[in-house]
Amino acid sequence: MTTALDNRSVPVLEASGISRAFGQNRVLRDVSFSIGRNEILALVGENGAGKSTLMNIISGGLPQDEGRLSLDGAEYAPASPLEAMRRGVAIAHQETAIIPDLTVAENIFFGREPRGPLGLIRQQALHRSCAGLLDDLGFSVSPKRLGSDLSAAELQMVEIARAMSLEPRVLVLDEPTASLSSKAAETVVDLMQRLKARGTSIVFISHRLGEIMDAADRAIVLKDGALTLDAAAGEFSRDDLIQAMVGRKLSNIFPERPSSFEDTAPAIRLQDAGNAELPPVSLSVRKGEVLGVAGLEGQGQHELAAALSGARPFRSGTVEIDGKPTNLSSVARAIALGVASIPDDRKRDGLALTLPVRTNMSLFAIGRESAFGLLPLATEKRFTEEARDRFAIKAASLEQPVGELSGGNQQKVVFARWLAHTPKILVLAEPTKGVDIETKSEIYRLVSELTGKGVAVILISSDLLELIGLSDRIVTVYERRISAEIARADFSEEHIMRCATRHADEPAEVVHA
Amino acid sequence: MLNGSIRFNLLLALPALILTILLVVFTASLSSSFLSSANLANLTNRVLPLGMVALGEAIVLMAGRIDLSVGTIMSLATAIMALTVSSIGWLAIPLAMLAGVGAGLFTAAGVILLRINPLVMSLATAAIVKGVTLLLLPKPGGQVSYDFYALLFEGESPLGVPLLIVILVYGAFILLAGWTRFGRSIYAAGSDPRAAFAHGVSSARVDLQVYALSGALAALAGVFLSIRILSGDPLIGDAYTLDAVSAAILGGIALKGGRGNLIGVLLAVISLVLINNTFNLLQLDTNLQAIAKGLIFVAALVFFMRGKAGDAD
Repeated sequence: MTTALDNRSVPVLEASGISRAFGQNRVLRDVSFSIGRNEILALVGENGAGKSTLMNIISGGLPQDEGRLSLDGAEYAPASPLEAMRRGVAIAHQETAIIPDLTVAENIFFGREPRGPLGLIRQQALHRSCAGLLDDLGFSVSPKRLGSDLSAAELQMVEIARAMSLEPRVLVLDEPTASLSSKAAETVVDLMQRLKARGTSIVFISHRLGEIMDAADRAIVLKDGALTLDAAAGEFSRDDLIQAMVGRKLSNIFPERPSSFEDTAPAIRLQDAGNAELPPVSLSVRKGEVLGVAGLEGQGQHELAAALSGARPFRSGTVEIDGKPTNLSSVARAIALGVASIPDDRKRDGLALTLPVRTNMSLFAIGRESAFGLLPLATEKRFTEEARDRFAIKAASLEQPVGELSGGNQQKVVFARWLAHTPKILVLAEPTKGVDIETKSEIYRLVSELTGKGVAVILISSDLLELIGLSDRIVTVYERRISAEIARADFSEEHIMRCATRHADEPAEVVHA
Repeated sequence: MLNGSIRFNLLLALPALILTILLVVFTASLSSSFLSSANLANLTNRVLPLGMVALGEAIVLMAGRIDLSVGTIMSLATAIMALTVSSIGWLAIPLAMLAGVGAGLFTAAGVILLRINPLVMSLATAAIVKGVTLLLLPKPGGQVSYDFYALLFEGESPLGVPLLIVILVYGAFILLAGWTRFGRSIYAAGSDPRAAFAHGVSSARVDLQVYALSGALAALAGVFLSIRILSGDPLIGDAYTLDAVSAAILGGIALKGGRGNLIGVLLAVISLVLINNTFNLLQLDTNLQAIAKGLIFVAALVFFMRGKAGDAD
């Protein structure tokens, strides 16, 4: 640890008192930290804690409202990502900015292509120097492949290569391993170690506590925009990180729920149900039970949600609801059968952003409360006011366009719409993505309330803490198949992650750390 | 040389190449007069205006936009030529092109500032340009001096001046699209505007550039047309809009942007002119031609959409 201590004395990048608000929403409050030379700094925090905002400020994507940054002791106030790059700070984004119709090489050197006479791009030289760069970084991606052909891991590698091609002194990685399998994630962690050895300082955001314990020289934790932990390797444990992220013991944000369902009947049972996008899947959920679905991005969980909602119906196998064979052949039919699905992309699938809160909430009520297809205004008013109070929706008025509300309140509007009438089965996909912790615990309380009424819940989430805290049982999906079923007694982040990154018949990998 | 995305984009031009070869063989076998020098000259004279207007349209489509005003801009250019050549001589050509650029910038302004859908906005531009043209020149007339005709169609050149112009202009734009940072920014904006923005490409700037180019090239097409007919005609360009979009799609430019190569567009232009020529050689009803063109357009759309089904959104 002495080297780490020595490094602290020469910070490369220093941030002091950084604050930033978006409208009423204070995203960062007085955040100070520094990165030493050859240091890997892990930035940890829940969704919506302000991590990405902080990284954007450092890399010139956003200005801060208050506070100052310095680079090598000199004032550093980048007006654009380009200026930040010139000063030696490069960012590799989480949502990779790869242009699908250009090749890897064209993407990496976009805007910096080698040019010959007449300003014409030298394609040969471009692809050769890209091959050199990728070789140097130890990536096995061909520079000639199109962006649209790349896997999630390859996209991330190319994004990192793009940042590295600028030879930055500080490299910012925004959740580089979030969408990767554990093996691919290890490659990225290895790469960080190699870059560090070459003198690059690295800040990386991660949710994977294992890799933070492995790779980070120092960790800082953000909670609701404020710094709650800043410690060197060896001075913090996993529990410290979780404690600092959540700010209270897990049991406090997740409500207590009964845990035995031995004698309750299954509310929904799938037997080899599948369609063109989803290989046959079998599962059942009892009344009042929460079945968690864990998996890395794109392992089939969203196809499952789409099939359950009736949007992309099952084409084979059987579906039983309350023990009776039936089918979910359309969205209307699924709703009629009491299956409520709350989609993960509320902007695309769930809400009409430009319409008022009132209209958004009453959309689903039409047809149930209406007489002759008409919705009496008084009924709509009563209904929406009740819903607003029940779900504690914070809006200036019911006439405010939904798009102006915060993410958490938008999500509550979605819930209000779907839960106006208690469903039999509730399918939740990433219900707390991008919402603050307060809304989160309200959503958890709501789920508990519903299960108390006998609603069966299928919870699809990438947030392991949420799955562990809320589920009675967890199934993991890997490459569009269920790879394991885990009972509550065996819940742990490591075990779930392991199951979520291998096939059912594959032997468990040896896990280090 | 062809290492990058150009390689993939060239593949998209392959159907147009095959179609052109088939049509040449078919037409030549149909009629002995096809290969006569008079008919070949007639063909290149027709490739010239359609080639120019389709080139501009293709560039707009590559950026993920569309321009339905190009036909009316052609008409406007013929009117400007017919009305001003007698007084200002060759300066009428840059004047007409400036008017085309103006119309293009107007469309771009609506798309960028008012966020109007490009299809609708360019349709509005088309209505305005058509109105202006009819105010300037209510019916076919005016005069474009024979000197221009002589220079363009009777000039001394082994291939003929029109073909030379087509080759030079297309050559320049093929280099521009595939081998310059400017060209790459067009493909990038058309491929994924959000990703392009992250690479420092402003889609507003690309919109301005491609619509200005499209307006200029449509006006140039009108200039050549007015030289051929020695006068102006306020409605002559109308039919060219569909032909221009048709040629771009048939040439492998993706309707959603980001893909395609201009060589394919040139081949598609030649194909469309050959189809036209076949109808004439066979002395078929011209109304059948319009029907055939519409069907070819649909066929091209279906063909290329099927080819990309794998990554359709």
